[in-house]
Amino acid sequence: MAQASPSEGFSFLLNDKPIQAKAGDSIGAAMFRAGVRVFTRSFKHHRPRGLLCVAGNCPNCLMNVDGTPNVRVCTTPARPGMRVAPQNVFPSLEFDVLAASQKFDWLMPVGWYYKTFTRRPVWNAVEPFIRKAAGLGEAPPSIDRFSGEDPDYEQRYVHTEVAVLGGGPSGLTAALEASRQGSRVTLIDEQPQLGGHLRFTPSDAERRRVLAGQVEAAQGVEVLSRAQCFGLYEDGLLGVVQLPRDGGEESLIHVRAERVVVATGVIEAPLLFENNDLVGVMLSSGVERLIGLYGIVPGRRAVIVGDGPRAGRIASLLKDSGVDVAATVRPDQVLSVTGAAQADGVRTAGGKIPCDLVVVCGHLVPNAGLLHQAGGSLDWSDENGAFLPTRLPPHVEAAGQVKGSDLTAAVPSPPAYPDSKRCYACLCEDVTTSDLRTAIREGFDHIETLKRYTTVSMGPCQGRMCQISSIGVCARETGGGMGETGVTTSRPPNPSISLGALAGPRHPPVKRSPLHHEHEALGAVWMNMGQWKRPRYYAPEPDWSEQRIVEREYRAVRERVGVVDVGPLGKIEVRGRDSGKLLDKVYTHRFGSLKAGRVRYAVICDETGTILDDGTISRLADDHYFLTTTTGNLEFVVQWLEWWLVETGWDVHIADVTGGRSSINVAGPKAREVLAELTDIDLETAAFKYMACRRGEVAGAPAVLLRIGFVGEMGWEVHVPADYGVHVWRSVLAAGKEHGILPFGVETQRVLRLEKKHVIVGVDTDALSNPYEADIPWVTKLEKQDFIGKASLGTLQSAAANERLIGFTMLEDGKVPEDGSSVMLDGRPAGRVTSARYSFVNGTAVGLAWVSDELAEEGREIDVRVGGKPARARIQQAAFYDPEGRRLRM
Amino acid sequence: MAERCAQSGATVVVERGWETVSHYTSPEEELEAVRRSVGLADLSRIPKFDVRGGCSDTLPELDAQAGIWPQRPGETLVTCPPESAAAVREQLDRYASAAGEDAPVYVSDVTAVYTALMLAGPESGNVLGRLADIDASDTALPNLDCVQTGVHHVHAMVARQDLGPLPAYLIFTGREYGEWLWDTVMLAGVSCGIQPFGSKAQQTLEAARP
Repeated sequence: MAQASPSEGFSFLLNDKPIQAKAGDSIGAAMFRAGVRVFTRSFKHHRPRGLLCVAGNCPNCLMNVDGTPNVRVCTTPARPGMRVAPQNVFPSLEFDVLAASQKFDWLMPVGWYYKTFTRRPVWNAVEPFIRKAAGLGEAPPSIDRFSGEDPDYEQRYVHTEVAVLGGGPSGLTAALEASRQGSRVTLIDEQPQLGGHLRFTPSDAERRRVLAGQVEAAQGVEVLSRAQCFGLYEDGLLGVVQLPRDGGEESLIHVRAERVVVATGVIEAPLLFENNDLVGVMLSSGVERLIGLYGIVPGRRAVIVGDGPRAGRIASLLKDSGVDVAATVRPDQVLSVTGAAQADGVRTAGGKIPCDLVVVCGHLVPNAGLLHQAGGSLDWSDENGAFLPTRLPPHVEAAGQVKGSDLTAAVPSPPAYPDSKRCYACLCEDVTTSDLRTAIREGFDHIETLKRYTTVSMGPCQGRMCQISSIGVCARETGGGMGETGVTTSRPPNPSISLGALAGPRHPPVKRSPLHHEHEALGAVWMNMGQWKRPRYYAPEPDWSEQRIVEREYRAVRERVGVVDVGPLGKIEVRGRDSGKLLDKVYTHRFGSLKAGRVRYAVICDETGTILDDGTISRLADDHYFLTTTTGNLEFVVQWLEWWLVETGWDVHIADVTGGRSSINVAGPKAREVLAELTDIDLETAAFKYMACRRGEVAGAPAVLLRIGFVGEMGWEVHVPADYGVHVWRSVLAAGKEHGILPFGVETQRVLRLEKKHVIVGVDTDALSNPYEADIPWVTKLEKQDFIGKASLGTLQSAAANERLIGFTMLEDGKVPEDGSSVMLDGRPAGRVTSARYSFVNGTAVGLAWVSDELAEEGREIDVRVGGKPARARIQQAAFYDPEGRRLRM
Repeated sequence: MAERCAQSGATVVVERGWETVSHYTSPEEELEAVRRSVGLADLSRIPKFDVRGGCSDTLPELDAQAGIWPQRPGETLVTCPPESAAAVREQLDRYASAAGEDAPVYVSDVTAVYTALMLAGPESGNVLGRLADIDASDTALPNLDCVQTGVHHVHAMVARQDLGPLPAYLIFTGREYGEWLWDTVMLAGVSCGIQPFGSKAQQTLEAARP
C-alpha cells in the first residue's frame, strides 16, 4: 500500500542537516523515517510535540518551510532541496529553555494576563516578551515588491452545478451519481490522491482504485486535489484554497455551485488523560496513515488506548507491521502516560505498561463545520456520540460519515477526565482541563464565553482537535448535557489560509492616459493619483531638485506657454432633451439656461449641502452637455446622475467617455499663438470668450475646446478622441517650440492653481465642507427650482459658519508648511492647512487652511506649524495671483 | 498599445489608419498557438457604437458581421469589422433618424472609449476563469452572448464570438485600463502557454467564422 518508491530518493534540509526522503513522502514522513520525533514546541509551555494525526488537522507539526511559517509538514509533500526549520523554539527544538516555563505555570493560570497587566504602560512593557515567548511562526519579513522575490498568489473562478467536498468513498459516490445525471461536478479533496481513508486501509485498496478510476474517467467531473474548502457562503459560494503539487504559493478558488454535497467525513480527536500530549502518543488514524501511506513503522512497542472493533483493527495492523502490542486498555483505565518528553509507558490502576508508542482510538467527530457555516444546525446524538448536522439549507446536503453514518462514541459523554495541568484539552493553545475548570468556576460557564476567555479552539486547528473535549468538560462542570452545552460557531476561514491568497495577484488596476508613453519619453517622474499614473513633473536632468524643476515649468506657464495632460479628469457626455433638467436637479448652479457654447463651473452637493464634487459643464448643443469631474469621483458622479434620473421618465442618456478622450490644457500668455497654428477656430477673445466652448479641429483631429483657466492663465482645454491624442500632443509641442513651450506636471499645476486659490475637492474640502464655508457661495442658486441640497444650503446660508476655508501667506522666508499642518492660536490648535506651496510670484509660501469662523478675518496673523514650530502667516481672502482674473480674459 | 507592442519587437503596420500589430513572432507560429492553446490579440481598433434610447434593444437588421451586445434596457453596444464601419454607422444613423421624437435614439462612436482584447483558443475559457467571476461554459455563455463582469474589480464586458470551432471572447474595458488588462490577461495565461497574436493570424482565424 505504501506509495513511495524506494528507488527514487532525494534529500532536503532540516536545520541544515540533510534528510533523505522517498518519492511520495510528506516532509513529516521523511523526518519521522529519519528518526526525528520532536516536530514542534507547544504554544505556551514549550512542551515537545510529535506527530499526532498525520492529516494536517492538529498543530503538532507546524514548521517553517522555505521561509513560510506554519506549514503542516505531515501533509506537505517533500521536495528536493527544500529548507525546513522549527519555529517558536529557543534555542533549538531538542533543547528549548523556555520549556522551563512549565515549572512556573502556577504563576500563569488561565487569563492571568487579563488580571495582571491592567495598566497600559505595564502591558506595553511586557507584551513584547509574551509575544516572543509564546505563539507560532513569525511572518516572513517584508520583501521589496519589485524585487520579484516575494510570493505571488493566483485566484480563479469555477462555476459548477454540483460541488462535492471530500474525496472519500461518499464523496466519490456522490460525484459519480451527479455526473451520471448529467451535471457538471467539481470535486474538492484535501489529499493528493482520491480515496479518503480508503487510501491507507489495505483491504480497501481495490475499492479505492475502482471508485477513483470511475471518477477520473467520468464526464464533466473536475477534480481539485490538495484543495480545502475554508468557507461555505451564501448562494453556493465556496472559498477553496489549493496547494500546488510542486511547491509555490497556494491559490484561492472561488467556486460557485448550484448544489453542494458535503462529504468531509470525520476527524479523529484526542482523548483526555494526563500527559496526553507527549511525543509518542498518536491517534489511531495517524498510525494507519504512517503505515499505509508511507510504509513507516511508528514504534517498537505499543499500548492501544481504545475499545471495540477499532482497537482490534489497529492491534492487527500494528502486529502485521512488526510492532509489539503490549496491551489494549480502555480509555477509562488510563491514569496517565509516563515519560519526560517521549512517552515511555502507560500507567493504569494495574501499574505501568512500558512502551514507546501510545495509540489512541479517539473521538470520531463529524467534520461538519462547513455545514454549520452554511446555516445548518449541529444537534447532539447520544447514539452516535457526536454533534450531527440537521436542518440544512435546500441547496446543501451531507453524505457519508459527516452525517453520523456508522459512528459510535469512543468514550461516554460527557467524558471523565483528570483535573490536571498536564491534561491538554487544546493542543494549539496549551489549554488544560484544569484551565477550563478554573475558567468555568470564574463564571465563564457558557461554551462561547469559555472559548473567548481560555482561547480553547481558537488556535490553528480551529476546534477540530479540541472542540469535543472542551464541550465535554463544560458539560460535566456545569451539569448540562452535551446537547445543552452546544457547539461554538463555525466561521470561515476554517482551516486557516494565508492573507496573500485572500489578497490575490499583485496586479492592482492601473489607468494610463493615452499620452503615457509620451510622458515617459519626456522624463516624467510619476505619481499615483488613485489608479492613475500621472506625471508629477518632467526631470530635464537627474540631479535637478524638485523645486528647480517645478520653477522651470511654472515660469513657462506664467511667462510663455505650458501644456499639461488632463486626461485623467472624469469626462461624461449627457444627451437628451431633458438633460438640463437633470443637471439643474443635481448641480447647485443653473444649467438648463446655460447657452450652447458656454461653460460653467459646477458643484454637486448632497442633501445636507456637503460638497461632493466639482468640475465644469459645457453645453455643446441644446440636448448635449459635456461634463468634467474630479479624477477620483468620476464613477461616483456617473452613479449619482443615474440615481437621480431613475423614475423621472426624462429623456437623458449618460455616458462615461473618460477613456475615449485625450485631454490637454494649453495655458500661458502664448497659448493662443500656439493653438492658432493648429486650428481654424477663431481664438480671439471677441470670438471665443473666457468660459466658452467650441467644436472644431485641432491638428486635423475632431476636438472640443473649452476656454477655462484652472492655472490662472489664458488657456484652452482641448479634448480629442483618444486615438488622436499623441498626434495632437506632439503637434502642440512642435507648434509651441518657438514660444518656449514646456510640458508641466501635477506638482506644478498645484502651485499654479493654489496661487489662484482654486479649490481641489477632496483635498481642500472634506466630508463636512459646504460651499459657504469653502468660500464659493456663488455656486449655489437658491432661487432656482428644487435641487439636491437646496433646503440644507438655505439653512447654511443664514446660519453662522463653524469654519471657513481661508488663504494665507507665510510671513517668514523659507517656511513652507506641509499639507495637513496645524494652524495655531495662542499656542493651541485652531485649524489645519489643506494645501501649501512656495509661490514663485509671491516669493513666499501660500496656502489654504480651515480655521474657526471667528479667526477668519482678512489680514489677521496666525501661526502655522512648520517643522514642529509655529511660524507667522497672514490671512488673505483674495487670490494670491491676478485676483481680478485679467489674465484669464486676455 | 501599438506603441508598446512595437517597443517589445512586434511588427506594427498601418491598417485603415490604425497602427496595428501584424505579428509578434510569425503568423504561422501564432496561429498554431491559438489553435493548440490560447492567444490574446488587441482588437481595440474595431469600430464600436453606443446606441441608446428609443427601442434600441431591438435594433434593425445590421451588417452580417456586426456584433450586437445588449448592455441594459435601452443601451446596446454594436461592434463590427473595420471594413464594415461606414455601412453599420449609416444603418444606425438611419435607424436613429427614423425614431420618433417621443423615443429618440442616440448613436455615438465609442471606438476610442473601450479597449477590446480577444482571448481565443481551446484554453481561453480557463484563462477567463482566472480573471472574472463568470461561467464561460457553452450553456451559460453561448456564442454571440455577452455578460458584464469585473476583472480584478474593474468593470468589463465579455462577449463570446467564436472563431468557427475555436471558442473566443472579446473583453471590453475602459481604454485607460488597456495596458493593464493586457498584462493581466497575459499573466493569467502563463500556465496555459498564452501567446499574443497579431492581425495576420487573426484574419486567418476570422475566416473560419461562418
